[in-house]
Amino acid sequence: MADETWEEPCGFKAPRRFVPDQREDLSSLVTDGVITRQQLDDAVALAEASHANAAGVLLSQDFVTELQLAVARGKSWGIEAVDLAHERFERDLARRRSGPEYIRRGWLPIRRDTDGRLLVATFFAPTPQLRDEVELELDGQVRFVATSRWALREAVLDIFADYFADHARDALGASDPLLSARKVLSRAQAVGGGALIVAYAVCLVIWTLSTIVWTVAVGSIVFLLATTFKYVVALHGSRYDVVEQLTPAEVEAVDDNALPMYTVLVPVFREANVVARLIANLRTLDYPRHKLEVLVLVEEEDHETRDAITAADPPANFHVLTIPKGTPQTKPRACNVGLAVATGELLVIYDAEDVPDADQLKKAYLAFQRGGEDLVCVQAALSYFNDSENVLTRMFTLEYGFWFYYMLTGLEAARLPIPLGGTSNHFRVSGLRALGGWDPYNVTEDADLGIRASALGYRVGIINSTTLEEANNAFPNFIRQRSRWIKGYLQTSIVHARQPRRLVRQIGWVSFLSFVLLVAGTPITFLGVIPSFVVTFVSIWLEHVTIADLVPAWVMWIMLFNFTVGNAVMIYVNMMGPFKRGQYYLVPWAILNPLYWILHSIAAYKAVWQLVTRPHFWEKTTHGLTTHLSPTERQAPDVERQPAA
Amino acid sequence: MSSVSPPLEHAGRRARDWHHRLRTRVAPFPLSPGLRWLVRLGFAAPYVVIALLAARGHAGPPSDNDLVYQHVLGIDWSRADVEWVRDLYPPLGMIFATGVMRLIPLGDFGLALLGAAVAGHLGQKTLESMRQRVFPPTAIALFCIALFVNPFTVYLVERSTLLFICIALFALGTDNMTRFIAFRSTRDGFRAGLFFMLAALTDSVGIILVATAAVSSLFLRPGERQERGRRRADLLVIAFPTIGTLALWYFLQWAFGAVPYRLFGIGVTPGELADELEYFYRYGWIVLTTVACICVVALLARRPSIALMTVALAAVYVLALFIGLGHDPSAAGFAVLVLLLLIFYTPEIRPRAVDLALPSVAGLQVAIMWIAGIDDYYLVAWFNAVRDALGG
Repeated sequence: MADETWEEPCGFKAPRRFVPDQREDLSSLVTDGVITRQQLDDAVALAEASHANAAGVLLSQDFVTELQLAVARGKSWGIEAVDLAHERFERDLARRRSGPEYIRRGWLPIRRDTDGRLLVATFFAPTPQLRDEVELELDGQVRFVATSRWALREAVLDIFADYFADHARDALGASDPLLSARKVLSRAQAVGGGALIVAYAVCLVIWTLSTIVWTVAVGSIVFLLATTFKYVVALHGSRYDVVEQLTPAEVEAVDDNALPMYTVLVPVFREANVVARLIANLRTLDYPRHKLEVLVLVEEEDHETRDAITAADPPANFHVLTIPKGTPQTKPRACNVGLAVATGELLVIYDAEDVPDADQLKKAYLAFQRGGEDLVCVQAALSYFNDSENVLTRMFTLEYGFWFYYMLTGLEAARLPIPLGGTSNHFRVSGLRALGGWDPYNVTEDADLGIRASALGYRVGIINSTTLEEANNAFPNFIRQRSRWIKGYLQTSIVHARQPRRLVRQIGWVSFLSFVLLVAGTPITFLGVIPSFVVTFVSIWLEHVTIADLVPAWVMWIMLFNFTVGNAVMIYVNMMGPFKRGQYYLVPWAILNPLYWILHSIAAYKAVWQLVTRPHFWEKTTHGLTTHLSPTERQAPDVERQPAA
Repeated sequence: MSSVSPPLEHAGRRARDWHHRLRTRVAPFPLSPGLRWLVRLGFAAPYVVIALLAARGHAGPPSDNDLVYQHVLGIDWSRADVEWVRDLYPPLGMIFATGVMRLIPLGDFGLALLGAAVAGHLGQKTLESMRQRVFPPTAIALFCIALFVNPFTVYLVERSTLLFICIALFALGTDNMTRFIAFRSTRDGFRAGLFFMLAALTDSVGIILVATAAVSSLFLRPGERQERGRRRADLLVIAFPTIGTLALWYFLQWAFGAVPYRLFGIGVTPGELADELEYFYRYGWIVLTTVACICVVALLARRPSIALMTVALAAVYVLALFIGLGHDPSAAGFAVLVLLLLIFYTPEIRPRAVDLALPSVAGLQVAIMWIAGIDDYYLVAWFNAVRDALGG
């Protein structure tokens, strides 16, 4: 397993050798009339029972604000309280030590005061031990002021914006450049790949038609292998669809007080139209609010979304995290910043339009409890609430049904590497950090992370819980989204093909072949669809004798057999998709799968083109296009949705 | 069923298997893979012995296997044109036969061995299915005798192997289909579709059997709950592989200018039609008695749809023979097929009267199989030929 790779730019002189004093007397909140005595007593009781702190409980219940808490803390400790958002920082002073460590240690230098002492904000009690630590680190006498946890984190993020930006971009590449998609091809890959392309081009010039036909023939074999593999794995996975892995009774039996802190990351970009929905959706999660931290990750330039969130008046446990400007401007980069400041023991990613099952976090918690330390991630299933909107959303729902309910279950049951889906991946934070977080250069960072986790000896599991999303209902949007996914699969294949022998050693031959067929085979399959259709129809409408002149008849038969059977297999596999959720009316639509795959093929060619011209470009999927209501909107019709830009 | 799992990571693979088993509803029988293989061997062994004895001297009236052998010998493997592909029909049966008759090459004996292997597997699956349906032990024993210890099945396995494999695949498909529909087990539905496709590609009679199964899937579902599109979905899952494969087969033949293989009316001459009619007069009582047995069980189980399906199946089977789609000179195929369906259609939850009736029905079937078997011209001729060849 990988070691911690999060290098600090400027470490502390000494490690912390004491447990900070977290006692705080919040009775001034009562005397000041902010809360009642009963509210305080209840919060203290709940905090004691659930191993949390009373301040967090009060905040989560919207009884107090961060600033009111800071003031109450200051009063109880006999120091002044400050609002860090309005303080003037001496950045050089603060930057003498590492940003993330300030967050962990709970203090942050602000500036040198007029009396020469250093003004230091803290959210722990300023005990003599803490004073000794700070004075040792800062080489001077200090004066403490009280602040809140979130204010300190925001301040650190602001002061160390460049560090967080660089770190989010480079952490993985710095630990092992070969695992990052920053460089599309390694030197060996560039040389080897170049030689192959030249050889292929020569064949194409000399034996044009034969080369094309043989290419399609080889492609058709890959096509059949990849589709058959999917069928076999999905059939294996379908063994388990009649029994719930985690039952409602087991979820019911979970002791709320024993639950760990959970961080929810929601990367959004230019999605002002759906943030109100996002807040409504996440409010339905069945998890103690004081143990749930929702970080909405908003790019620095995206003022519109930030304003929309503020206007939607989110609950106190929702925090907007501004992602420092930087490249590549991708979701994984934003998630890496979120990971750096997350305080949860467990973490999940949702998209802005996601509607997770209410008990999903508890199911994930149970899965982690049972799965052992090497279980680093569990994936919930994704499905769509607008499945009957048009042909495209129907096909999308069929595909997701097969993938998440059967394919991933089959992969898990066979202990094969699981390429994660884009959202609803729940992580053990320590494991995720040990893995180096997400690759910001990979546009399917989730799939890459799943494979990387397997390579490093971790396991990825699945849980029987569903997140409803909005299916893409427009063709251009669909092609954009698919081209990004296929490009990401190509990136992931290339990254893990750099050291194939190492990968085989790490995960074994069976898992390696599974990876090849699933991750590398998928783009190749899609690339082969249009040529296969063309060759099939050309073969039919030309005299078959002509084709037989070019290639042996048995090659032609294998080619046609593979292509036609491969398509039939994929239709059949897709028919499996709706069974888990009882969407039987979708089954006949699976017959349209060959046409659906032509769209994939178009997207695949776009993906290849982009891999060459704009490898790290994130094709944004527009959300909020559907006219169908999500379950949350149906239950609470007052939730506003604005038209998508 | 509890799904509380043990601490898997500390318990090793055995515990993981146990966990997976808990998460599935259909338990194999016997539970140990080694024992399952022993059971298969136990069912297959008598047929292997008979095949070995029969191989010592080839005699008796020409059988289906002889026809298959002639066909396989006539296949020109240096060709790969569309007419050649057409002549391979039924392709899977021809591939099986070519594999064991020419490639290995064991000739007739190879095909009989293949039949024995399939019989072994079918025996274990039938036993498993009866256990899953909690048949009374007496009924299990009698059904095993009725199915596997009778001259009909022996003849079918040894002399009409492709038809037997087709029936076995169809029966396994039916077993899976009933679990798919009754237990809502998705995997079994998608396996049923594949079994049916394989049956249709193994022997030409398979097509009409699959068509019957597909239609029957519409009526098998207990109507306690209306689910939008469920019946249509079931039908597609059951029939798509067969329809898809045959459609492709025909499409390619049509597209490449060959005269498509004629499924219906293959080689039915007035003389053969007369033979079939005689066949029906001679063996019709087997068909009727066996169907009556199923109907009794179905009505006792308060599932009239099963009775109707069985009658329909009997009708289409006989029709298939009349239109020349199939060839079942001894009526053995039908007897074995219907007996298998009786087992696979019997619901798991049923009135007590069914449990009381099952041993009687099974006992009656043993009697029917033996009485009909020792009266069958083809069977008697073959057994006599084998006996003579062995010097008896």
